Amino acid sequence: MLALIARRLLTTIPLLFLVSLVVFALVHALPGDPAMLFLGEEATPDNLARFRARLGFDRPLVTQYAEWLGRALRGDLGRSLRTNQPVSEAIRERLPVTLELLAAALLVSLTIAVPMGVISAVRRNTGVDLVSTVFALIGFSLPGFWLGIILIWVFALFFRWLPPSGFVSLPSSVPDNVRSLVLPSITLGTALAALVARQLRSGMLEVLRQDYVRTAQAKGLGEGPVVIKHALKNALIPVVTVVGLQLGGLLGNTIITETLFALPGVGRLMIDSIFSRDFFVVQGVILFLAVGYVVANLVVDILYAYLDPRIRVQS
Amino acid sequence: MRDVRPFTLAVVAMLTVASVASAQVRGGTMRIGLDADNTTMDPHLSTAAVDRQVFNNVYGKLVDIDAKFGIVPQLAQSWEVRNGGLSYVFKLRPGVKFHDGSDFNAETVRWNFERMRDPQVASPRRSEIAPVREVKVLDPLIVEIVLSAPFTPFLSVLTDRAGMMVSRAAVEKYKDDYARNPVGTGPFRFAGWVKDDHMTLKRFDGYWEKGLPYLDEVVYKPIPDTTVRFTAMRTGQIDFMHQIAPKDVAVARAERGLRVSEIASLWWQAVHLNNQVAPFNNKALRQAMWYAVDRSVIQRVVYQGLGAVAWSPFPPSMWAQDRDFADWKRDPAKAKAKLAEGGMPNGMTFTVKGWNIPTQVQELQIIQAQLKDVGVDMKIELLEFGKLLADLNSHNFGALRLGWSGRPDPDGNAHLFLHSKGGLNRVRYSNPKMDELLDSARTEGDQTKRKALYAQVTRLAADEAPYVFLHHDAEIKVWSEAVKGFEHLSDGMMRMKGVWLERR
Repeated sequence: MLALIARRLLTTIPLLFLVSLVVFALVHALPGDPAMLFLGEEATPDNLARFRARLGFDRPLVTQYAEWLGRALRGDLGRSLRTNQPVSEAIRERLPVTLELLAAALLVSLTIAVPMGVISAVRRNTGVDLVSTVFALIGFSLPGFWLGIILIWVFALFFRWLPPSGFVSLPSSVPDNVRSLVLPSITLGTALAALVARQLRSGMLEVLRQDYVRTAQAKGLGEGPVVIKHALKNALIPVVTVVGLQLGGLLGNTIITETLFALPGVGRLMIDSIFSRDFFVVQGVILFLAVGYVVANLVVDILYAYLDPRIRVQS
Repeated sequence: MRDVRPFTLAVVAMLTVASVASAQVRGGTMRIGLDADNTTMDPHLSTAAVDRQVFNNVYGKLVDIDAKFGIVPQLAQSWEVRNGGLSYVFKLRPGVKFHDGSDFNAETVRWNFERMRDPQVASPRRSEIAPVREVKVLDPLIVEIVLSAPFTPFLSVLTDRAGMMVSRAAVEKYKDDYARNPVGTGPFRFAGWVKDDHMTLKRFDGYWEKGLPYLDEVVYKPIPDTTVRFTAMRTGQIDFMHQIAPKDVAVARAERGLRVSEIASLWWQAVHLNNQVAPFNNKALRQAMWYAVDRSVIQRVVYQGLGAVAWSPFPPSMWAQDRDFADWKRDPAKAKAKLAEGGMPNGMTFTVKGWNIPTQVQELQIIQAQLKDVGVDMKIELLEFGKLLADLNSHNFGALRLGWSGRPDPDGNAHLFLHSKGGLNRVRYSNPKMDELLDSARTEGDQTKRKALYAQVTRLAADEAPYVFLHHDAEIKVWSEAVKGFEHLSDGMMRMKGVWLERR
């Protein structure tokens, strides 16, 4: 087990190096000159040159990259060109919002998907199964921003039960915090719920045909214990993989969700910084998210090996 | 009996005055929904339009504008223009304090101008105040600004960020972090900013206008999505809303408890035609575009009848607009004749670059259909705003769709774009006659004479068509009926000084 972790950690290092290179290259390949956006459209060429020199944008890209990477390794991601706030501080401020949103979305999707997947497998080819299939199809096809707007119309404007936008932090008010995250987490979690429900249904169908389930039924166990204790536990293993794999997609969708619902999270920080060409913030946030994604995948791998002994043996 | 009526009227008048005066409620929090978050709180470094909304409540300016674009006193009590427009002497208001307790005086004004002019600061204001040669302190409360050439729009430039005075003590204390720790002399002081969530201003008790402001607090909430922002307005999450989509205006008008105010803005929208590259280096082909586009369809469909069609850079709100000029209606026959004259009798193909937002996409599609009628195939290339600006600034376009938010003085709507040395003349249009007209209008002090000059600018720009002007946006604000005392000006600024809330 330790050898596995060590091996995975070692492969992570070149991966992260590659990530940093791609992030830097992408940001600098963006069309649009930050100096021009900062100094306004009427800026004189001499003003522009001075601005670029002050921020080191006039030096060779290789030098800029080396310096940025060197500082990043020491935990210094630079400062925002706009507000002079340290990038790491900006991320630290936003991270709780995004993490809470992700956790809530995960909770929403599993709460919907697990019962739905199990029931539609056990009662396959019935009305319930059909309803769940239709839900999955619609849920997975709906664009997130559109679903979000519809939810706002229905629950914020028509019924006036929930706020249409904004974020209340957990320490300041627990009920208001929950209320401010209901619509965003449904918006973000629906597509994942649909995917997990389908995955779980097919997983359950396979497991339910296995000999040990038939044995359990033959022993005279009721339907409940057979499904929950014997079948679901094994069918959940591929679900863990799916959730792990979808984490990246979920993280990407937080950008849309946070912008739509005006939540001050990391995704919104990134998109605003891209539009204003705040290079150091964009680089810092993308690098941070990439590292986060790599680490999350590492954890899922290790967890998976722990859950399923066969993987440990194979590797 | 005969004497009763005047007496009654006088009583009624007194009661009315009394009721208006007593109706002003002190206290409460005003929640304002903005379309984007502020980028910086330093007016000398700001380039985003949204920043000015907050600045106008935090910073005092030397002068301000009124509803008719007249210049009115603010931090300067009075001023005199001397030496044929080469010198401006301002008498400053005594007893004005910054939020940090430091004094506002002539030395502060001098230092503020030096800061804007300092190449190391790299302030976008530097080009706006380029005519300034020297700032002299004549007395603790009298300051003289000397220009290198007469510049009639100078006072109007000072009604925006270039006239906003920042605290020297605060800049020296916070240095690069000043952008997050602003200190001005305005009616509200900065009290906190959670980026992309909210910014809080609190009443400044030491404000120089006694009894003002009425509100305890102003909270700005950036809500980028228009639909969501409007929903927040309708559900009472915000009291005041900046930027509403044209399609939502009718709904807002019908909604109980909301007030909608529509006035003429300073904006113009246009297609920029690159005068130095084919096909639009050919005047006849530019004119063909001018005659092929029906601005009234754009106004009806895209802007839902709001705002006005444009045929010059001067909106209806401006005294410089030439309302007698009529040669701007759609005329397909004339457009075809101009195409033939330009050597393209069978039509032509070109690409227009545009910003990828719904109203502009719709607009370009309408133009595309109208051009098809005269045999012109216009391809649309949609871009993100930063990329669009980059292409504009590097002259990398044949045609490009972009607007201008406008300035209170007509010079700020025309000189930049039509003068051969204009800072935003990215279409590289050049005509000595046009330069002469714009220069004269810039140095002329008499408004009637300036109006006549701008009428000539309008006609020449229409004839040579370096830009196809399309539309002047409406300036629309939506607020809750609890909001009282707001004065809506064409610059669209939400000045909260004299505003109060009636419900709390």
